[in-house]
Amino acid sequence: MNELQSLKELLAKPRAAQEVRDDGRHRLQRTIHGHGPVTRRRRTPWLAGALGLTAAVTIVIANLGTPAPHEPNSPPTTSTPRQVVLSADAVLLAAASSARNQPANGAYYRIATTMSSNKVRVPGKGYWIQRSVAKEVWISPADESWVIFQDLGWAPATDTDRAAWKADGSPASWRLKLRSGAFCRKAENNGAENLCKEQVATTTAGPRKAERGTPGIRRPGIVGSLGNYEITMDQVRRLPADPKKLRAQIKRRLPGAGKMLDTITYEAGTGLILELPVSPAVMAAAYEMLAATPGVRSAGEVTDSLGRKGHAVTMGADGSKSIRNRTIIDPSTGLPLGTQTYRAKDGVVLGSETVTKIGWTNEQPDLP
Amino acid sequence: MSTDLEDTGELTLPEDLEAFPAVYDRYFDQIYAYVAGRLDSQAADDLVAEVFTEAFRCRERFDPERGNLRSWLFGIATNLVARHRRAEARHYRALARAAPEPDTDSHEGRVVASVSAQRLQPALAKALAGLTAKERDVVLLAALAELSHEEIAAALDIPYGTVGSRLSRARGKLRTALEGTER
Repeated sequence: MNELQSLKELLAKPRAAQEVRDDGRHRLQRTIHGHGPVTRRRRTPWLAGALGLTAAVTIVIANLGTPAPHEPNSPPTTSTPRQVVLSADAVLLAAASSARNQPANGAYYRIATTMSSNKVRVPGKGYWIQRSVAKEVWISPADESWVIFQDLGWAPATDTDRAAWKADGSPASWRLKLRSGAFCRKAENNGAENLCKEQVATTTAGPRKAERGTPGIRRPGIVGSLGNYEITMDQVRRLPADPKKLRAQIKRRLPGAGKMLDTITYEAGTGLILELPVSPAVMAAAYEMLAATPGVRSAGEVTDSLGRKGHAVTMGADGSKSIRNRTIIDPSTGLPLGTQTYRAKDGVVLGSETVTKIGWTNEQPDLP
Repeated sequence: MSTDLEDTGELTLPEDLEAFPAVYDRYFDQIYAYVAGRLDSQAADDLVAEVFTEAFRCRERFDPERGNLRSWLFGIATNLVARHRRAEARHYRALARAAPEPDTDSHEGRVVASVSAQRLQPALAKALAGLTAKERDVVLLAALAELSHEEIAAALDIPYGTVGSRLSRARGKLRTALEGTER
């Protein structure tokens, strides 16, 4: 009698249902896409170091589990959603109407963003730092697209943090120990600290670097992705400017979405608004589609890191209850201001991607 | 999704994050069988997805020099299961109760293997619940995941020798429980 074999028989379970398998796969994909900046940076080896952004995400989440006397450090003006002024529907429909006035033509569709990693507390210091990366995407219908990246380095997260950093002698680098996540928590329990790698974070900005193609995508004609699939410029041009037809088209790109269809449609819709070189009419249709998607909620009025006021929307049924994502929209222009990861209980912003410029333009990329 | 990942014998973490779901497709069944075996199917439905999202979030800490991807994933799964000790204990208690007394008069009952397997189940489940958590991790990674000693060492981040000693201690306890029943 082999007791290992007996154990295997005792504990044998039928294979997971297809629904469970699909559900988990979607959750994983949403996690991957939730770290938009990182996902988009795939296949750009010179930015491999910037993947630290994701590691930072994990640290902060782990820190949140324990009392942290020095947080939140964000001034309420940049972090706390005010009381809800408009419903998500009202925000999205106003944005749709404004978006139609944006330019419909140009040599390039430009998306300029600054991505800030989730905040990390400097060990033994009590102030928070975060890393930023500037990204310009220039998508050309003539398939002459460029992405320009610049690592802006690490910096104190807020004015309060900056003051604490100065009091600390304004160090230009920090040693951060990335320890979090199940694997590392276990390592701590066993006293095997070496699993948690140390990283040196510096304030030094890197050079601007340009790469042909759209972020992470080198195949000719591909300008991004919508739903589960990549999308070409021609396919983007053929996207319907009608919210119901747009929803149907997105659904076809989300096979096996099952009961998560609304959530994933929301993600595809916000992804379209933030990342695809669409016409103003299609952007407007996407806002209208989101307004009609069950579960989309207002996340209040938000002032972003550049001091711009906007209205945030979020998906009610989306992922974690404690750490949430919201998309900030300026209803007066119909343009997205960016996305933020925030802590649900007090609205403290952990990380963000701020859109500084988006839309069709005849300006040319300033290639390094 | 890139298919070249699926053709290699040993997967490593893809640099192309879009290919990360290939890791999921490749290891889902193995991880599911392990987690569902230790908890129950319902708990596994939720937890297995968490194993992969956790792996994605922690992917910077995967160190191929310390062990292969499979053992790393099972390490994460083991840590997540550890948060559900009570559910795990409940699962084994249920198994200890669930097995019916074999009907020795029936045709099936005369099939010796079947009789002994059935009779052994409650004792085995009880013995399993009686192991220490550390012994259970090792023995179930060996039995359910069929990891080698080396892979178990990497998954649990314990010395190779410790795997051997824990495994033999655990197997000894299980065998004692089984022999007690057969007698």
